[in-house]
Amino acid sequence: MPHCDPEVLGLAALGERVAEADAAHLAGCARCRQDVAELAAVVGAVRVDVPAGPPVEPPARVWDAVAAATGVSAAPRAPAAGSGRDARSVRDAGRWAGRRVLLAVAAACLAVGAVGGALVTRLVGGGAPGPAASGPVVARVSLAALPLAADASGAASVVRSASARDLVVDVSRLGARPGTFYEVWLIDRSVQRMVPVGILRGSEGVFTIPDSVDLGQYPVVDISVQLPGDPRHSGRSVLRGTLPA
Amino acid sequence: MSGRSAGAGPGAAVSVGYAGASGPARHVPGEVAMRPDPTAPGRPDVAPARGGPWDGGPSDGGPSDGDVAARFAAGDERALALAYERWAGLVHGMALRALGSADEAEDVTQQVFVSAWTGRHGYRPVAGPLAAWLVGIARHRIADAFARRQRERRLAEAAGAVALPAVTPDPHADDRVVLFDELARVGQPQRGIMELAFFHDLTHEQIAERTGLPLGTVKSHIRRTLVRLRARLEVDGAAL
Repeated sequence: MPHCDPEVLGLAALGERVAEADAAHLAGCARCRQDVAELAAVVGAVRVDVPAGPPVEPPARVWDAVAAATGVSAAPRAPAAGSGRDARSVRDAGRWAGRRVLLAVAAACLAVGAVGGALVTRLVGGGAPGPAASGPVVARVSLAALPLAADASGAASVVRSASARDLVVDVSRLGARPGTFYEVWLIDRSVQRMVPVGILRGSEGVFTIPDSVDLGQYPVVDISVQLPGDPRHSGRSVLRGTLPA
Repeated sequence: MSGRSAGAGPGAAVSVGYAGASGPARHVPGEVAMRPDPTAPGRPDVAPARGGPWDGGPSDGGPSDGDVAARFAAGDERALALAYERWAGLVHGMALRALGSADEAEDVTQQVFVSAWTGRHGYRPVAGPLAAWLVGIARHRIADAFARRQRERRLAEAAGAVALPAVTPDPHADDRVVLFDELARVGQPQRGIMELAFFHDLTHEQIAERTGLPLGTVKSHIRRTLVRLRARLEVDGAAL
């Protein structure tokens, strides 16, 4: 076969699928492959890699800027409180009233400890902590199922005892997956940093949260399916929720 | 601004934090070409729309995504607000992860919605979901931000300042500056074609369909522009 049409090589460099005859030629032709490689280097230097991860709500001032620039007077409803609260948008919290107040109460209670903790438990409707942990629940979150385990559900609570904080996780309909195990993680909002807190056996687990871990910084509770032998997060999450501040 | 579900009971307050992680997420076909980061947990960006008290997403009523897209294209201001409500988190999350800087990510998120709105005539609902289109614009703006960052860095260095390493270093920083400079010199319709191919990950057939240009024209513009960019890189590339 003659060399590939140069236009086809350009499309291949962009990652388009090429016809079988072209693919077969490419496999055996160093010259055409070289052309694709050079153009693909151009494509690679223009495109950006964006790691997959969860949405992060921007602070309210971003919409203000959009509205100012477009002259649009309609306004979006405020994002659900607590979403996208990076260090800076925390300062914006006051701009969103309503449910933020409850979070403020929760935060205040965290500061005063056990009594407040119990109050928060009532306020936020938290359930009883797992049997192995005792102490007030200071934060609780429902874990929502991700597509890998669409039927599963779960909840996570932070239980404060005299000397430590425990993360109590209980799940249901998270089937056994032969050759794998479930691991519980605490992850930051940008999904860049994470702390493994332990392996979940069965439907319930109690994990000690290391003292050095700031839950404000690592508020996302995540359960992943892991393969033995690789300590990194597999990228295969099954349940996830974000602890309220 | 009122809360998403004002009047929700205290129970909702527990889980509001979750809404940021998956509330507005929905399947975005245009995003499938994003290379998955092996360390990124889960793929909540492709999670199905979820209902429930902690979601605040589509379950609380409002027009469908398709309605929002159609109204957006038609210039309904309310649709811009709705699109922002649903997808600002998606766009901002991308920008934040890619750039690692809250300031730059906020700029990008703002630019994406402003240019989506001002350029809404270029969006056709039948060609794909609005979210996918926004993601394409976001990838373009993120790449722009990387190029701008590198240009500023060079200026600072030229002025004798010591530039701190970027939070998220761009492995292609130098080539990117050169290529974006060259792309800016490319006329239309070539530049628009390349932007659709680079950032929106459209195939040449999809680009032809969207632009109304003949398939052969699109293919030859792509080839010629890539060759032009390669030539510029050979002259001014990483050797700089």
